[in-house]
Amino acid sequence: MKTYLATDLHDSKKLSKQFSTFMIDGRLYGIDVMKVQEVTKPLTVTQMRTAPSFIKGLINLRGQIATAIGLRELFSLSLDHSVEKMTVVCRVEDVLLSLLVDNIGDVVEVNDAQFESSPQTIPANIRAFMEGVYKTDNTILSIINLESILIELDKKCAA
Amino acid sequence: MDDGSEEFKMEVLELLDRAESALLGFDQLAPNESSPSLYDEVFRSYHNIKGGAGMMEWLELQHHVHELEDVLMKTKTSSSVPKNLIGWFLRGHDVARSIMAGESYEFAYDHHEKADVIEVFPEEKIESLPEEFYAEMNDGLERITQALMDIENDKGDVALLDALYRDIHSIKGAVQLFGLTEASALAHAMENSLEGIRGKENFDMDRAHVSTLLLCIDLMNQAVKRGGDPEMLKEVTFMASLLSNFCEEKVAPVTPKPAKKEMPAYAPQVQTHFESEKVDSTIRVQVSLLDRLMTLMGEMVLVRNQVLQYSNKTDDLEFLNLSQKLDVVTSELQEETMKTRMQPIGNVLTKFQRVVRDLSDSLEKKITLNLFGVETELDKTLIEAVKDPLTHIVRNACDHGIELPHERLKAGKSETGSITVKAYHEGGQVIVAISDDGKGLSREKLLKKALEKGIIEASRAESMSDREVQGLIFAPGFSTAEKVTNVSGRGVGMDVVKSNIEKIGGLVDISSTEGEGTKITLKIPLTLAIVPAMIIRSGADRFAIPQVKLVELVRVEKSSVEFLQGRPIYRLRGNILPLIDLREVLGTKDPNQVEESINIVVLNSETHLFGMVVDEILDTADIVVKPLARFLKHISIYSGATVLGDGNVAFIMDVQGIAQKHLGTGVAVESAVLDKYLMSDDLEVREFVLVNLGSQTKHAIPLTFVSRMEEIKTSQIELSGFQRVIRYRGGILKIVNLNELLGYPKSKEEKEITQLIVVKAHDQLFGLEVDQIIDVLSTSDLLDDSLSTHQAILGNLITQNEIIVVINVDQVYEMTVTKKNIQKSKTGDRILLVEDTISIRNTIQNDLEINGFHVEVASDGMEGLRQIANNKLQFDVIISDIEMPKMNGFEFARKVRTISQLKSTPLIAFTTKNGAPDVQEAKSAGFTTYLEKSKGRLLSLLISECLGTNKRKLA
Repeated sequence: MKTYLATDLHDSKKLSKQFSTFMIDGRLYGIDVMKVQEVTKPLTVTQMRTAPSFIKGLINLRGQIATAIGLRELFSLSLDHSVEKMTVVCRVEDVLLSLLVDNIGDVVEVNDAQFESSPQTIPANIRAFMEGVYKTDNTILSIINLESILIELDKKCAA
Repeated sequence: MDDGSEEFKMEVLELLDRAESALLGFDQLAPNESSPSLYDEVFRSYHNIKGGAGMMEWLELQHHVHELEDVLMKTKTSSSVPKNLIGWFLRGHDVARSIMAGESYEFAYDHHEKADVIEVFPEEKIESLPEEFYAEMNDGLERITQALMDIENDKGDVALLDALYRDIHSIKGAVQLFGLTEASALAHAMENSLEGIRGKENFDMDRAHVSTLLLCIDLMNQAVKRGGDPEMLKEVTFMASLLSNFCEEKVAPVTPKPAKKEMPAYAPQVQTHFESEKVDSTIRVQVSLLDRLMTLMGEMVLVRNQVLQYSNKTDDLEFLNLSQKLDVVTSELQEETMKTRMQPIGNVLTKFQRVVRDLSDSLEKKITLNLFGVETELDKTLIEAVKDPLTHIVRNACDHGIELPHERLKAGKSETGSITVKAYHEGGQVIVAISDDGKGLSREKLLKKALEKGIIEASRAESMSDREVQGLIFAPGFSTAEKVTNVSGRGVGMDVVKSNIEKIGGLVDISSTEGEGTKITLKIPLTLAIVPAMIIRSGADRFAIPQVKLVELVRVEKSSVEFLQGRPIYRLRGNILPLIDLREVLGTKDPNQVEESINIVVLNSETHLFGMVVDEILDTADIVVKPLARFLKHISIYSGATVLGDGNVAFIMDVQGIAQKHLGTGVAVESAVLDKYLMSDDLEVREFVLVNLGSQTKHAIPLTFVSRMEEIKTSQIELSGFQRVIRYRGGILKIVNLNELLGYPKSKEEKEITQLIVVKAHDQLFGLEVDQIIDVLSTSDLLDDSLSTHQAILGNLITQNEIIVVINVDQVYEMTVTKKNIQKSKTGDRILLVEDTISIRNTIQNDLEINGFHVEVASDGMEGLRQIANNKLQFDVIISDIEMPKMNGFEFARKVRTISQLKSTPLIAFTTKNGAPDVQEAKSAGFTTYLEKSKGRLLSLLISECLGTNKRKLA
């Protein structure tokens, strides 16, 4: 992970945002760094029977219970068990989610000028979770909106 | 501003409560008895509310409280509140609450027709004060002003401060002489505020303090001129309270204070001088923070457990010591953390004084309320939850329970009825018992009402026991009040009380004697966050089932499961019990799985009684309930989650949810069947556990004695002396073999697993070992005690097809458990037992005493040495554990050996540490011999041996 000098942050505060990035199915996604509590190797999961497949179960995160969500399943992507999985633990509206991703990238700093809303070409099953994209020099970063994830989880579980 | 107003509201409510309890305090006093502290409490509360309301521009509230304050001021001089005004003030509080809640209200501000007892303000003839006095006052006040200015410019000048103090003091004397109460109070407060800095070399006077004193001088001028004006008195009182701030540790000054090199610490000294406003040494903490602390505490306990587990494998004594310390500290920390959420139930109970007072007025009854155990603590959320049910019960007692005075006199009771609320801890629960000495419940009236409302069938009415009839009061839609009053009977019946209490895992019970009174008992768990649960396994998953939902555990042959309309059922003592296979619920059913017997957990949801088939019943545990993420609530078979002892997460089963999902509403068990289970203490039907012993006849143990039934491995049985015991729930459980006791042949085959019925008699648990547990029998057959062949047999139950022998558990207890009293102190040899584990200590002590030794005990080395000193070195044998807090066994032994009289006293190390280095160290520390705890049964023998050798040696 990069470290930033306080002055760097100060100068770019108004314009730039920081995102924790990770890969799923070869694509780069990002979550607002302020909402990410930690990044860990997968912990022991207690399976939740009868729950939809994207709910992997519960994990004990030092006494706090987090719900493990398989993002591949949630995004209706094909499952690939060969990749080394990592988890991104984030807190959103008092819910602790542990998102299962393929692997972890850097914290990336982008500025507002690079932002664009999600292009129509992004498939609907993923677009529902997205806030938009940032065009960086060498790649495109898709931003995941955690609130939308909660809403979608609620909808899918109720169904 | 929004947040501020919420906070202000909270504060006002708190202040009103404070004023209220002070007013009720006056109610306890004799009429017009003065109590400055209570009076000030009320006054301060009003004044603060008024001030706050003004600041928040809450004019309606400000005006209202101003009126209250005005009336209160009239009795300032006597510091009392006339009894007939207390009610008026209390109603005023209600209005204040209504104003804040935005509700409409009516209030007669005109209290004067009632205020005939108000003491008239002693009016001094101020006009007639001598001219000299005014002149002197003016001079004095001017000097004070000057002195204050000088002090501010020239800090630390002790002479100036002394002059200031003198001037204020003489003014105080003068105004007192002329009866100017307000001025005198003000001068006194000014004087007091200086106490803290007087006599200090380098005193530092706050700018704010100076400003306040200047304001006081202005006020003093007015006070002298306008003495007797109630408005003035208010001002003075308020000013005095401002000044009192400077008597305590410095509060944040109004203006920022320049940094000072030397800050004389004067606060502690001051407090002895000034009896200041009672400051609660408490702070407000977010409940979420407490929850977080509890969570972390739970984690710490887990880590502690892991450390302890690891420490069992190591020989590193240092590490063992440390881990034991960690154990002690963690346990204590856990206990204290739990307490942070606890609040005394008095917070709710004391409010009832007001309720009862109001009600006795409006009902024209005379009622006193007695509260016991107000300090009993329980979880804050539970206190909130029991508040309404309790209020309802107390209201009921006032309205329906206590009779009118003339009725009471007629019934030969005293005119004044009494309601007693007792709260206390019992068995991990809080019991709140509300009893009244009123008219009690009438069987006829209850039955009549129940028939009218169609709650019961006429045919059933006759056969109902008194208890059942009294239970009707909890039936939905039941109200015994002949007329609906505005006090109770407002549609919120006892059924709501019952369901509210049950919602938090509590129980309600009622018992009443007509003409003598009614007692309602609430059993409330200590905390919601931690619930006792049963841990079960299904496949690879473990689940927790709350104990309150659990009725019983049954293990049956698979062949005895029948099918009704394709659904599995089991006939449990003649009643059909629908079965749900947990594997089916979870979707983990394995078709290849064949089992001969199945475990059924009989569960009681609110509407259903059903059996859940599980793979294994693991353990009971107190679990910390954690809520699920909200989107998971859609998956309705789980109600929460918990972290188990090994750190893994387990789901908590939602018994209600499973019943609804898999039984629907159609298969609901008849409530009569449910009742049968839930009212098992009904006297006419008695229940027994049927067992096989080494006799042809079946034997029965009354279920009321049975605490649990256990299967244990015979290898777990240990000997303590000659007593067979097992380690059981952190203690030691004695085992009594019923065959042996009753003189039946012992079963020949060596069993790996034996069945125990854990019974409780005289508050003590012990295990009855039987050949086989067969069933539970509920019968109304009478017990025939004409043919009792053995003192441990109560008699025979003669059922339709067989005769069953009933065991007398009390007698079994007498015969076996209390043996120690019978053969106490034969040898009289004195033994000192040093052991830190209480259960082990008690058991060993018992055994040794049974074997005739005189035993003194100590919980660690330090205490051991103290015991030795206390008993004048008179010990024949000393037994000591090695691992102990404060002073371990090695050190203890070394210390003992330094005492010349104890140089050759047998010293036995009794420990679990049995590695060669430990034995070596024990020897070198001075222990005579060494015994592993697992060989505890040899202890008596070893002692005798030691004593023998020692005596021989001495001879």
